[in-house]
Amino acid sequence: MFQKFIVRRALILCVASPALARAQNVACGRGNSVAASAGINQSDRADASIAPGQFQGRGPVATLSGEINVHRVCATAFVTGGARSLTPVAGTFGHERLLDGYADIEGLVPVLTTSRTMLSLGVAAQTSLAGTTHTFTDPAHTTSTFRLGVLSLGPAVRATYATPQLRLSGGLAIGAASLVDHSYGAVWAHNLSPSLRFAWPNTLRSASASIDLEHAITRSLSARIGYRAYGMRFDDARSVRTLSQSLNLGFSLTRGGERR
Amino acid sequence: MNSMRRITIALASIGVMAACTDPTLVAPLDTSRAALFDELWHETDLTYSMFELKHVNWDSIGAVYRPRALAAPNDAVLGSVLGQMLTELHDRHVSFTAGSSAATISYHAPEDFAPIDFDTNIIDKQYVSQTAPSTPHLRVGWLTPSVGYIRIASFAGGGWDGEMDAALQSLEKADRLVIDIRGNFGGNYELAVAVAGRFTSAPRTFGYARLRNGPSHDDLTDYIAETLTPQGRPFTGPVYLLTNRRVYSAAEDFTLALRGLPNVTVVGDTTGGSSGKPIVRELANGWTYELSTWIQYTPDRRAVEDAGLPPAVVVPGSQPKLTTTASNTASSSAKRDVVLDRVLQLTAAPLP
Repeated sequence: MFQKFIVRRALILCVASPALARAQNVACGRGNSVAASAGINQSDRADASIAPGQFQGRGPVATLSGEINVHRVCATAFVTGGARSLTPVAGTFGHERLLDGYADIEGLVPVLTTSRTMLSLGVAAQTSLAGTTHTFTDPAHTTSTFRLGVLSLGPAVRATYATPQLRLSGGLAIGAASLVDHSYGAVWAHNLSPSLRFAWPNTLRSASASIDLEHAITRSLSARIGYRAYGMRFDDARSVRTLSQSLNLGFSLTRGGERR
Repeated sequence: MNSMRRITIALASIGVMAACTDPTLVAPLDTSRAALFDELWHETDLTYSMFELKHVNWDSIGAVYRPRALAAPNDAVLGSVLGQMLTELHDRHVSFTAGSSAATISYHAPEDFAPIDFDTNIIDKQYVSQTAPSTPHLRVGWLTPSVGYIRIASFAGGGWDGEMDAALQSLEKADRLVIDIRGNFGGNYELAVAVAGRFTSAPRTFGYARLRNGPSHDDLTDYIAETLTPQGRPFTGPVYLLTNRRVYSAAEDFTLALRGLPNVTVVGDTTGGSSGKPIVRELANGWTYELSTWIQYTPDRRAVEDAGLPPAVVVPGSQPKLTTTASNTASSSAKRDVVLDRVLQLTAAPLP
């Protein structure tokens, strides 16, 4: 039984090794790919412009991502978004409806490569947009809408471990310089246009971390499961803390079947 | 294969566990008397738009009221102290409600309680004939065979600006219109401006607003134009807009939007001067309060707050009766509406 297993694994490796070696020479470690997934998101937010407490809610989320080899650079794009209801974690506040989206673009260059592993460094541009409609506890149950948008640039790192059947990757991107639009008060018809300001890490810190696992179903199609977290802390006149976590299931398609 | 499964299960477990945790992003809420007072004082300090305009020393007010709040023997007294502190802003748009069962505490100027000659029963019985159908929010009729009358008691709610189209349709044979908003406490800004759009045939800037946008008391946006745009089938004939001291907030926005139009004459008394654009805020114990967030200006950039909007034709006897005299009780005893009497004189003149 054990011998049979060894022989089968050896045959797989013999067939796959040339492809593996070729693929690790490209920036993404494989051909161009696109992935779609859906899952659940949990948002935790504390925006003092809205209320002095923390709000939390879960809801569905959809995600699209892709990777393109551009010479020695692996360009990745990721976008996700969803809507969910938030309730206060503590205190007696009203409730919220959150509509948010997150996108990032990364340019990564492999710096350390073995037959199965790859470490890449690069830069990331992360964008987070959120619109929150807060229903207050006043007798009229007044609602107001608030806005938060952040565009951050900073370093990114990604590590990948790949076998013919499996691809495990983890990434981290940190916002070093940011452009932020944080509504000081409620958004009225009179202040719809964004009020953009630069923010440095002494006032705004943001980071995203992700871990994805793909399992090959066919030569070009894989099932994937991924976890992603994005956190942000903005020490404005009215401070903001957010943490968004998503767990997604989906599929990825790799062009040309050149896998890993 | 087994290792792959293990990794998958481990990764999924990590994800589920991470997604199920309750991360703590802010310090635990404090609902002590001191914390509630400090939150209210600080948030008002950051939000309220008219400290400079009203020459309010908020630090001093806080210093006076904080010991009172800390010494409050129960929540009812604490709520009263916090509400009284906000009334020091002398702003009708600022209010405090200590829970859903408590009465709202807000500022009232002395003239708010003074009697004023405005009685809709007298108007309906002695001035308005009911040959035009009224709508749920508008009283529609005729003052004379050629002068239509529309009374707007409130701008509360939203989405009923189309009722003005129906009113204008039923008064389509009118040469002139009287729009009566006396006693209108306001309501919805967007609604008021949409209704006003029925009286202009071209877009125009009718005022400006500056919103609080930073932690300093003088952190305000630049002057943001308020624009009136034509709505429905506008009536562009002569319009007489009736106002008095009980016209506040969105009704003042309506007045501001109309008073600059060449076909509109404002008649009566100056409006109440209350224009704050309030936002609701919450304390950690569920108490709520409202604060003004902007300063509204006339086209020549004079603040509306406290000053109000004076009429083009001032009608003696339409002012609040701060003191009772024989002369200012004459009109009420005669059961006449002095403002409508004056308007009827004006409308008797030939059309321009």
